[in-house]
Amino acid sequence: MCTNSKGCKNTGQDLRIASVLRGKKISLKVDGNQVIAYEGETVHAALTAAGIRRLKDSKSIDSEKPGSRGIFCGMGICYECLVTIDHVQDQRACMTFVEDQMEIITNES
Amino acid sequence: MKVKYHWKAKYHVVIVGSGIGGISAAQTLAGHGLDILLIDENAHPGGQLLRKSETSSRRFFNFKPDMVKTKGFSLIKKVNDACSEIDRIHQAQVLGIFNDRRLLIHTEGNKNQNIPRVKNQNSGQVIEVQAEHLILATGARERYLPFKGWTLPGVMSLGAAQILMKSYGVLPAFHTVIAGSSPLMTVLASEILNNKGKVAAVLDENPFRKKLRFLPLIQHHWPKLLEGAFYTAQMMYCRVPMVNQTRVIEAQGKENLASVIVAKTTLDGHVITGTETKYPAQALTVGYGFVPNIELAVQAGCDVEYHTTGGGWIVTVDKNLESSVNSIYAVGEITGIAGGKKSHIQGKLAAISVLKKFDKLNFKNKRSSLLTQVKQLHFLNHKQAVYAAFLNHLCRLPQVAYSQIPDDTLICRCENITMGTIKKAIEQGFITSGGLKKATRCGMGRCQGRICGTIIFDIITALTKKNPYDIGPSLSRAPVKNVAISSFLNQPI
Amino acid sequence: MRKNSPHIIIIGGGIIGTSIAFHLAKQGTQVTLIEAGELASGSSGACDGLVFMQSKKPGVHLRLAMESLKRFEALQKELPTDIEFRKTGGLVVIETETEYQAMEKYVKEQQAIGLDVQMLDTISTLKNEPFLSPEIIGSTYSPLDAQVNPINLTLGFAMAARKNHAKIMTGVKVKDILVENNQVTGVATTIGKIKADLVVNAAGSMAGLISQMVGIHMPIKPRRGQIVVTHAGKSILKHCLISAKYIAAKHDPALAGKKGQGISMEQTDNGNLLLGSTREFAGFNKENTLSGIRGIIKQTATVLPALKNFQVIRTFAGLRPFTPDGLPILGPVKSLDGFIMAAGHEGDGIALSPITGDLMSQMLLGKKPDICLDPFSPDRFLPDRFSDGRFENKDGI
Repeated sequence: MCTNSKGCKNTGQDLRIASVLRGKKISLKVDGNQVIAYEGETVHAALTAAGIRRLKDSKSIDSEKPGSRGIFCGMGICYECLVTIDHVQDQRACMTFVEDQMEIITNES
Repeated sequence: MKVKYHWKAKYHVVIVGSGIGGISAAQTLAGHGLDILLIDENAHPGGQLLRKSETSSRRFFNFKPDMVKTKGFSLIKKVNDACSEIDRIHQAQVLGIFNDRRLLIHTEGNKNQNIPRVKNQNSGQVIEVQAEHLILATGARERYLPFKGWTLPGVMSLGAAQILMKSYGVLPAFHTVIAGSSPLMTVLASEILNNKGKVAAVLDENPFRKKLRFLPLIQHHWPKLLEGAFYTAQMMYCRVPMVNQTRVIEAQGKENLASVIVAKTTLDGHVITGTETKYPAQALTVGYGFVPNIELAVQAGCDVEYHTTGGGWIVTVDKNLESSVNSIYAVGEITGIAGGKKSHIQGKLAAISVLKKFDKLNFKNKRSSLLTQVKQLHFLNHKQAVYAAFLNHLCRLPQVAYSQIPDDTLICRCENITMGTIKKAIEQGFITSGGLKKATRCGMGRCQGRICGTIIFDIITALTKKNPYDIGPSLSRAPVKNVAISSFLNQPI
Repeated sequence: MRKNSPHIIIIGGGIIGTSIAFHLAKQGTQVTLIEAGELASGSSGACDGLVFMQSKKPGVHLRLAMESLKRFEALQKELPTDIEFRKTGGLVVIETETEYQAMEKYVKEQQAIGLDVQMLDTISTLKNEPFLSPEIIGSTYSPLDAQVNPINLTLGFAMAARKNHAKIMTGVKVKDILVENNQVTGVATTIGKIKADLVVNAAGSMAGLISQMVGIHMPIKPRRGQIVVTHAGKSILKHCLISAKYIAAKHDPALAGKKGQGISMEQTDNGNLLLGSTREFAGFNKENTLSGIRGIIKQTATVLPALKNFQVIRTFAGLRPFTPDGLPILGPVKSLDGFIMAAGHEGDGIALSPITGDLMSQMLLGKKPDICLDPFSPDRFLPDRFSDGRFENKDGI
């Protein structure tokens, strides 16, 4: 239903904005797969750019069905973006900055 | 793991939050020989408003008649330059404020000392700092209206999308639907379009006549009016559908968002069945206004009051911006949602109040130029209240939007509590924020009610018509943010 | 003077008040419960859910607790809320040799009353609870110790009472207790006067303030206990647990050292760990303190190192209704007809709520309670001044 006629040319896999200057290119391991990132990005930005949105499953005996969760507030308040980073569980992806060779595991929180 | 301290045990002034309010206070306080500490949870100062990344090329069309951000960025620079006077701790959370303004703070120890992070270990620490005066500038977060599927990855706040784009240069998705009641929706739409993303539609809860009704409130805030007009023109030029009187009914998708269902509403906010429309989208950004982050102030014992035109529960302050607790000041969005300009003004006013307490503003016969600004600052502060009324009235949803939330909709995301459970508890007589929390577990999860607290309040209001003070604000206890137990056990040198 | 079907007012909507209301309403009694705030807004909503037999003083206290325990399973079925009652079994963790010797003695006293409890060495303790620290010397274990959800239990009692036509009033404050000719006739509240034949003071940590309304001094003092709450995570604790120091702080000064207040721990059905506790006289202040929070975290993480992977999401504090002899105050006062005490359970309110409700309802309806309540009589704190039976105002004995 999008009827924009101008500026809709972003057909690459990466959601990064081309005109933004970035830090050094680094590599992350996300659920065992290599993912490109740039220094200065948060984990949540790098994952979003790579199209990875599902970060955890909600766990509760009361829910009708547990559901996948991802970035919601983007500012460290909702605790929905929790991932395991370098074997430390329950880290907020939106508040943690990427580092080269960082290991990220989703759906552990 | 042992990390070295480099902050002091005591300060004349501690400022919590380095958004516009906090850095305005810091910059005003600097140069008077006081020990100042500025703490922020983010890695960079500027809060939510002052975010930007470096770009290689000129933007599509950079139209910013409102000077707040320009002034804000220059303030950041001034505060950075005053680093010898202002100690800074970034990526730190103030967990609680105890007797005599003793702060319990969690810091990512090594990050603040530029020590390389040790992998596979939590290197956080919990420290204590004593403040003679405390300025709280904890800013705001967003308001939400729950709908079916709002927990799907891909559904996020307007702010989350702004942060992705402004701070990290990442689009929220290739196709984004924007919905809600906030005038900031077109701001985001413009940002996405400028960066070659697609906006499927901008879907506004508000009827056109409501927008017209409140427009006179910002007649004197012409930069905002101009900006609004510009964004509207850009939407029309780019043929982005802008639809009024529309509510999000459902976000659909298996593991991620795939499409959004919306429906038209009547003028008074009832959903009109049979008017459902589907928009394919990978991201749905929603904005329904703002909520002051009063948690730390409440935990510290500050009185709060309720103002619709201020965004809900706000910290009570006198004309010196001092709260009901001695030597604790509150500035910016937590004294009423009103945007950056007010935060700037109030940061300055609070700093002046503190400087007066230290007797820094009377040198023999010469009155500090700061004191002469006070009257003007108060006038500007008052002027911002009008803009605040516009913003908060426009964002405010009709009560029926809350009372008609379907029973199977999740309200508390952390604990997975549905509207049906909440309605049952209200019927049983649990009609205060605290009581409903006890009866349903709503607000007992990790976010401690930051997402669902205002929603619960609005649901109780809509269903019982009780006045705000009978329903009450949520109570906050330390730690106001989650903190790893291992951080308490990590010993500093 | 007691009618066959009296109207009974209960002051206090916590675990004790609602339990009494439940048991009375079940028998068709006319009951009005009056709560100043909301149900469980006092200590009943600010405590952990331990139903711990091992921490009860051997003697009448323990006997009462064991009798109370038997009723929880029936309540799980009967009440409209899920009270999350689980027979987890309980451990008292022992950290020093001195504690070990003291606990050996304590266990013998408990066994004499008939409590199923035994000493365990380190290996057996860790077999039962693998995430505990290998530094502990041993533990005492009872399969009878259990956990419950105190808020849901309180609400369950109230909702069931309401179903049986009890009037449950919240947001209503009792301003005064009305007396005529040395007989209680009702209460004056913020919404007017309510007549009654009997008034039960189940106001928990504030019961002393309520009894002052009729000039009776009840030595109930608020004793603050702080609790630290973790996020809901994976299961690391199957039993409910306290430390030997906790028992010492409660009962036996000889055991109590300078090294902290002792700890209590449980992991709820939801997965949160509730870590406690402190024992402080701080008036009615319900704030959490730096030393309280730090102390609890340090001591519990020492005993259960797996806590290092958990995050604290909140703290809270409740006021235990402390009495000088550690026993609750249950029953009528000689000096005033129609005024009944049902408070002072100090940290045992949850565990003793079923039996308290049952026995009190029997007493209130003029029957002889199944268990003699004389040891709990309020008159043990009141000197015998009124030989002529007249009521006089007393200002603090």
